[in-house]
Amino acid sequence: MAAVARSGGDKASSSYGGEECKLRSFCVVWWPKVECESSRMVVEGCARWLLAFRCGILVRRRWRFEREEEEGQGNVNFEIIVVDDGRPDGAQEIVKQLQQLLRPRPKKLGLGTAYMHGLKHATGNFVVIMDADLSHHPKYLPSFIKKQIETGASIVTGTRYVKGGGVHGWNLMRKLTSRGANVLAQTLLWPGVSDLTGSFRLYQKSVLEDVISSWVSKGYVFQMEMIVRASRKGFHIEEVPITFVDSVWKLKAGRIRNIRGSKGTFVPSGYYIEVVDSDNMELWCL
Amino acid sequence: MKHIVKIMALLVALSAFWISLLQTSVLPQSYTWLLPLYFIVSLGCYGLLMVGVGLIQFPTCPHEAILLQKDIVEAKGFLKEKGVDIGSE
Repeated sequence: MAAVARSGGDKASSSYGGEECKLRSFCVVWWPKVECESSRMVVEGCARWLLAFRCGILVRRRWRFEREEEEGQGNVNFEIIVVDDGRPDGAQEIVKQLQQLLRPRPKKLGLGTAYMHGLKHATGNFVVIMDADLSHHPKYLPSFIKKQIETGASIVTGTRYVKGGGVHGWNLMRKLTSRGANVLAQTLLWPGVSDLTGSFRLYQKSVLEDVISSWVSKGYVFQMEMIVRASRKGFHIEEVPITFVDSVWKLKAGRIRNIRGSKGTFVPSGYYIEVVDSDNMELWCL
Repeated sequence: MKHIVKIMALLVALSAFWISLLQTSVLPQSYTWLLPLYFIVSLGCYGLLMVGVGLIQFPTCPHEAILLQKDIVEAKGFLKEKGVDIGSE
């Protein structure tokens, strides 16, 4: 099932830095690692964030640009594209409740297919990719967007290894393998980013298409491949510290062994949320 | 230029340096022959050191987990008010 939320209505313009700047649109891809609860939480999380932006009902200071606090207006355009892989986890009901238009798509999507689908339907200029089990918190989205606006970077990647970032819920073995892999990759590849395996990133849409068309790896290592290829092609890459809280859903669901133990059978579903217009919100399905 | 070319160039430069050391006998021959070994071993040690340092300095954020739980509770409440029933696990 894939649902696309598109907000119609007028496009607001935003003043940032005191000048009128053209509003960009952002598309967010959420990539859940577990089923059921996370799918609900994804849609809930994204709806909440977007509602906060849209009507300012929830004044969550840390979710807004600093400038917008002064101006008192959340003014980022967005649309949501939620792409699910058809698992019966209740996300459809939530999406239905949040909006009314759905066209279910029964096939299971792989990672690349989900990305291509999301890209096809995304009309914005930027795409954000993130995990949907809330290990990547949406509150960092404004800092990604802000960094992109400030520096004009083609890719803004979240890094967990710098000050201000961090992880929680990792045991020593996990930290060791993560650190070891990063040191090895840094030594051999000289990528120019501190966190190679992170998957919380903002891409310019053209850059993402370019990188996707040239990837060859299978499985999760594609995240590393994407960023290394992008760095080789000379794209401007910036970093933003993020925090990664792991195992929120895995522990609750108790499924971690099944998912980790299965050999290549776990196909995560992807969610694409596009930030286009903050006035209205429509959800429809691919 | 391609990355592999850069790496090869680096290796060639190092080899040239080593061979020149062999030829000119600045250092005693026995040491010079073992230089590549020392280099590889020190590279390995450096790698291990970086992994160790990284492990020790690994940034953690336990407070974020607490904040996240708070956010989840609040989000559920918020959406429930708006008529969206998230249900519970």
